[in-house]
Amino acid sequence: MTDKTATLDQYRIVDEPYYRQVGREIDLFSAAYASRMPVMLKGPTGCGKTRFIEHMAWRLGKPLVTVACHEDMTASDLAGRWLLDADGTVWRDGPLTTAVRGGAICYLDEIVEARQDTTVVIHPLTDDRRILPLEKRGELVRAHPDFQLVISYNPGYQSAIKDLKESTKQRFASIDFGYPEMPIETEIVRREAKVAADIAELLVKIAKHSRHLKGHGLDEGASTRMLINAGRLVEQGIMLDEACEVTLVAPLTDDNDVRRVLRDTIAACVP
Amino acid sequence: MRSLAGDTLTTAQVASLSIFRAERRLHTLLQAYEGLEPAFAAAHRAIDARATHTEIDSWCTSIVSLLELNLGLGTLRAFLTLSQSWPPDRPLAELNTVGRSLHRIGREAGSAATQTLLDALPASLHKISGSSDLRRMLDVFTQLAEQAPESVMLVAARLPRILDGLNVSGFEIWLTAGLRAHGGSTRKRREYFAIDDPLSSSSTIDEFSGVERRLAMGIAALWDQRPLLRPTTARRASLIGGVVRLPDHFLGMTGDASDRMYWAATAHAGAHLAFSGPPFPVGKLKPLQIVLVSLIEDARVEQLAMRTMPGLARLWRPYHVAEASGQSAAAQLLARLSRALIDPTYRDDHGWIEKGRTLFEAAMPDWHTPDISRRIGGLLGNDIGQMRLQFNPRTHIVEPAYRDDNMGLWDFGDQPGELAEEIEIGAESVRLEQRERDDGKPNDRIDEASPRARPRQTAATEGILVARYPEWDYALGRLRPNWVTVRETEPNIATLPPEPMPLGSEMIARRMTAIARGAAIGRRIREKRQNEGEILDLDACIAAAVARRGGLPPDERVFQREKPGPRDLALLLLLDMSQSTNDKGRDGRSLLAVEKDAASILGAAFEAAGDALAIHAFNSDGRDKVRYVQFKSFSDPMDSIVRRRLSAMISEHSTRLGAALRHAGNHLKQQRAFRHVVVMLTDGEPSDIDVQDSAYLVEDARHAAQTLRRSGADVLAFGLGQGSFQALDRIVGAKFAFRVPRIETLPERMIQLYARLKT
Repeated sequence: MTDKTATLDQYRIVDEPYYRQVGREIDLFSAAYASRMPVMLKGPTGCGKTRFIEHMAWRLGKPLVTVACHEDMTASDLAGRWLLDADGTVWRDGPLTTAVRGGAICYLDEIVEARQDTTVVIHPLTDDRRILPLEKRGELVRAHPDFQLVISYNPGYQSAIKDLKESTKQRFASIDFGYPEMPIETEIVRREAKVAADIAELLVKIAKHSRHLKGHGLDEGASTRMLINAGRLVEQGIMLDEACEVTLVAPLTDDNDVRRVLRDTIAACVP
Repeated sequence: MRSLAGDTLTTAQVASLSIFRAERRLHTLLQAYEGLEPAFAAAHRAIDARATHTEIDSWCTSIVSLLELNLGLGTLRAFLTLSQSWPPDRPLAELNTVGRSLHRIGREAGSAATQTLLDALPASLHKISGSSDLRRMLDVFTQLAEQAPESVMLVAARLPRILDGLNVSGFEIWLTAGLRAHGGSTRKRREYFAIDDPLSSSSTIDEFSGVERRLAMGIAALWDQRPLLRPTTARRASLIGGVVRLPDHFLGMTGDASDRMYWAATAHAGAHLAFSGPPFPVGKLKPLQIVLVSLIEDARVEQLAMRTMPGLARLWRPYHVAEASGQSAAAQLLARLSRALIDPTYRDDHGWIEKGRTLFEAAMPDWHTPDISRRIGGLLGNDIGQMRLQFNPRTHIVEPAYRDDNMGLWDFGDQPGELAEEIEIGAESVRLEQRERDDGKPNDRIDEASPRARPRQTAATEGILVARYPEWDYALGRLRPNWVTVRETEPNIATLPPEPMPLGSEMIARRMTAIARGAAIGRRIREKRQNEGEILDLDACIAAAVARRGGLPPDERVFQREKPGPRDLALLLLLDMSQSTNDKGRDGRSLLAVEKDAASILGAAFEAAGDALAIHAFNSDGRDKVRYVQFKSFSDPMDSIVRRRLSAMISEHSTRLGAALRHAGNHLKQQRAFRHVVVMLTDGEPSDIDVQDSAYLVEDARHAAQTLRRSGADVLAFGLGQGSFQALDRIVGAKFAFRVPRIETLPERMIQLYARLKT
C-alpha cells in the first residue's frame, strides 16, 4: 500500500495550473467526475486540453497519470508487464493500472495514435464494471472509487485508418475544446506570456486570420500555445514580426507560398 | 583490295559479298520477331517496284538499324506499313530519311514515342510538301528527342493537328522556343509541348499564374472569403458575380513589384466582398457621378478594412502618388481626391478636394453603410461635372492600379442603350464576361474575347488504336467473337487551367495524400514471436524465461522482425463518360465533375504513395464505336497535363461496359504490381443504342468482370447517384459494388477504399 501511494505522490499537482474557463467545462467536468464518468476532451492542438485536465486534477485534489499515446504502444505498456530481476520474475504495473489501483485520474493523450488492439484494453474500465483484467497475472483489478479515465482526441488529423471505433467513442462524455473567444484568448495570452494587453490582442487577431487558412493551406491555424510563445519572445525584446516568424509561421508550414501569405497577413494586422 | 589469302577481289565481288552478309544479318534479325518476315516481304515488294538498288539498300540498312535498336514489334511493323504504303508522289529517298531519323529519335526517346510518330506520319505527310520541309521537320523532332525525350510522344501524337495551324517553319520556331524557354524543367516542357494550339501560347505575359495560389490563400486569410480567382486580359481587376478577376499582368511590372501589386489588388477586392452591399442601381446618374460614387465606395471599404487591419494602410498608400498642381483634367482631380481620402498627411487646397474630404470624414459614423458613397459621390460628381473638365468615359481607367474597375458595384438594369454602353466601355471590362452566371460559377465553356480560351470540342476522330473484343451473349450462352470494336482516341487538353476543386475536396485530397504517404513510407509491419528476426521480442523473451524457470519448455520464438509494408498497387480507374453523367447532384455539380475530382484526388495520393494509377474513360455509340480514352496512363506523372485533359473531358453517348472492362484489363495486365485493381465509376446500368434487352449488356459486363478476376485483378464499382444499381451487384458482386447516393461524398469514399486496399 505504501508503495502505491508513494508512487502516486509524484503525480500530484501542487500549484494551481492557470486555466481560464471558456464555456462551462469546469462545471461539466466536475459533474462528470462526481459519478466517475469517463470523459473525452476533443479539440485541436494547443487549445488547452492538457492544461484543463491538470487544472481539474488539482482542483479535485487527485493525482493525474498522463500517458502520451503513440502507434507502437501495446496493451502491456498500459497495463503492465512481467520483468526479470535477480530473483526471478516481477510484475510491474503500467501507468493505467497504477491509476486504477491508486484512484488517480488517468489521462490518455492523443489516444487515436495508438492502435485499436491497444485501446480496447480500456473498455472494461469505461462501463459500470470498472474492472481491469490482467490476464498475464490472472488478476482482476477493481478500480479504486476515485479512479477516472480521461482521453483526448484531435478530430482534425484523423484518417480513415486511424479513428476511434464507435464502440469506444460512445463510452465517453465529450467536452469540446476550441479556440476561445477573442477577449478570453487575449486574457490567456496576456497572463501566460506576461505581455501587454495590446500585444496580446494583436497576437490573437493574427491567430484568427491564420485560422481562416485551415484546410486551405494549413492543417490548423495558430494555436493559443503558439501565441503564448510569441508573446514570451516579445517580452524578451524580440520584434513582433520576428517573434511571429519563429513561433507561428515557421512551425506551421514549410510551404513557401503559405509562409508568404502568413507574413503578409501579419504585416496587414500590425499597425 | 587484298584479302588475307592474297587474292584480289573485284569491287563487284566485294560489293555482293557485303550485300550478302547484310541480307543474312537482316534475315537473322527479322526472325527474332513473330510475323515480321511476311510484313517485310510485302513492304520489300512494294519498294522494289519503284526504287533503285541504292535506295533499296538504304532502306534495308534503315530496317537493320531499327531492328538492332530493339524498338519493338509495334514500331517495326509501323515502319514497314509506312514503307508499303508510301505515297507514290513522294520520292523514296524521303522514306529513307525518315528511317534514319527514326533511328536517332528511337535511340533517345524510346519505342513508344517512335511508334506514335510513325502512326502520325501518314496524316502529317499530307501537310508537308517537299523533301526539304520533311527533312527539317524530322531534324526538329530529332532535336526534341535529344533535348526533351519525354515530350516527343506528346508532340508526335498531335502532329497532324499542329501542322494544321503551323507550317514547318512555324513548327520549328515553336519547338525551339519551347526548348530554349523551358530547358531545365521536364514538367514545364511537358506543359508547353502538350497544348493543342501553339499559336495561343505565343508570348502572352502571365504573371497571374505564378501568384494565383498565394492570392487565393491570401484572400482567405485576410477576409475569410474564398471566391474564384481568374485571370483577365483587362488592365484592372473586376468583381462580378462573386468571381474576382485579376489582370494577367500589371503593365510594366514583374517580380516583387508585381507580387506586391497583386497582393494590394486582392486585399482591395476582399474589402469589397466584405463590406460592399448589393449593386447600386444606376438610375439617372451621369458617368462622372458613377465614377465618383465608385471612388467614394473604394475609399469607404478601404477605411473599414484598415480599422481591423491597420497594416493595409502601409500597403495601399504608396500607390497614391497624385500631386496637387494647377490645371487638371478630371482624371488628375479624381486621383488627388483618392489620395486625400486615404492619406491624412496629403495637403491639397483645391476646393472640391477639400469638400470631398470634409464630407467623407463627417460621414465617419456611417462608414459602415454603402449609402454614404451614393450620397457623397452623387454630390461630388455633380460638382465636378459642372466644372466642365476634360473627361472621356470611354478611356477612363480607375487609379491607382490596384483598385478594381468597380463594375461589380453597379446594376445597369434596363438602360437607355447609349448610356450603358458608354459606361461599360469606359470601365474596360472584358466584353463578354457579363455572361457569367450570377452565382459565380462559370459556364463550362466560356467564350472570352481573348484567344487563349475555349477548351476544344471533342473532335469526331476515328481513333488511333483499334481492338476487337468478343461479347457474351447470355441467351446463347457463349461469346460472340470479334463483336465489339474499341477505339482509343487521344484526349483533348483544355487550354484554360482546370477549375479548382471545391474546398472540401481540397481538404480530402490532402488527407488522402497524407494517408498514402504514411501508408507507404516507413510503414513496416512488425511480426512478433518469430523464429528469427533482427530484434528480440521482449514479451516473448520474458514469457520464455518465465516458462524455463517454471520448468516448462520455453517457446523459442522470441524474435521480432519487421517486414515491408503494404505491397504496391496498380489501380485502373475507369470513368463512365456517357451522356447521363452530365446530370447534376445536390450541390449543383455534375456527376462528371465529381468523377474528375475523385480522379484527381486519387492521382495525387497514388503519386505520393508511389503506386501506379491509370485514369481511363469510355462511352459507346453502338458496338462498332466504343470509345476509350486514356487520360492518364500508368506511366504519366500526375501533372497539370493530366488535369487539363480531365477538365476537357466531355460526356456523351452510352455505356457498353463489358467491352470497356476487357480493354481496361488488357492495359492493366501490362503493368507490373503486386495487386491489380479496376475501379469503375458509373451512374447507371450498361446500355447501348443497338441493344434492346436490358439484361444483355449486364450479363456481358459480368462475364468480363469474372474473366478479369480469374486473371488476378480485383474489380470494384462505385454506383453514383440515385439509382438502385442492382445491375452493379450482378456485375461485380454485392460485396464489391458501392453505392454513392450523395455524389459529393465520392472523394471521401475513395479515401476509405484506398485505405482498405492498402491495409
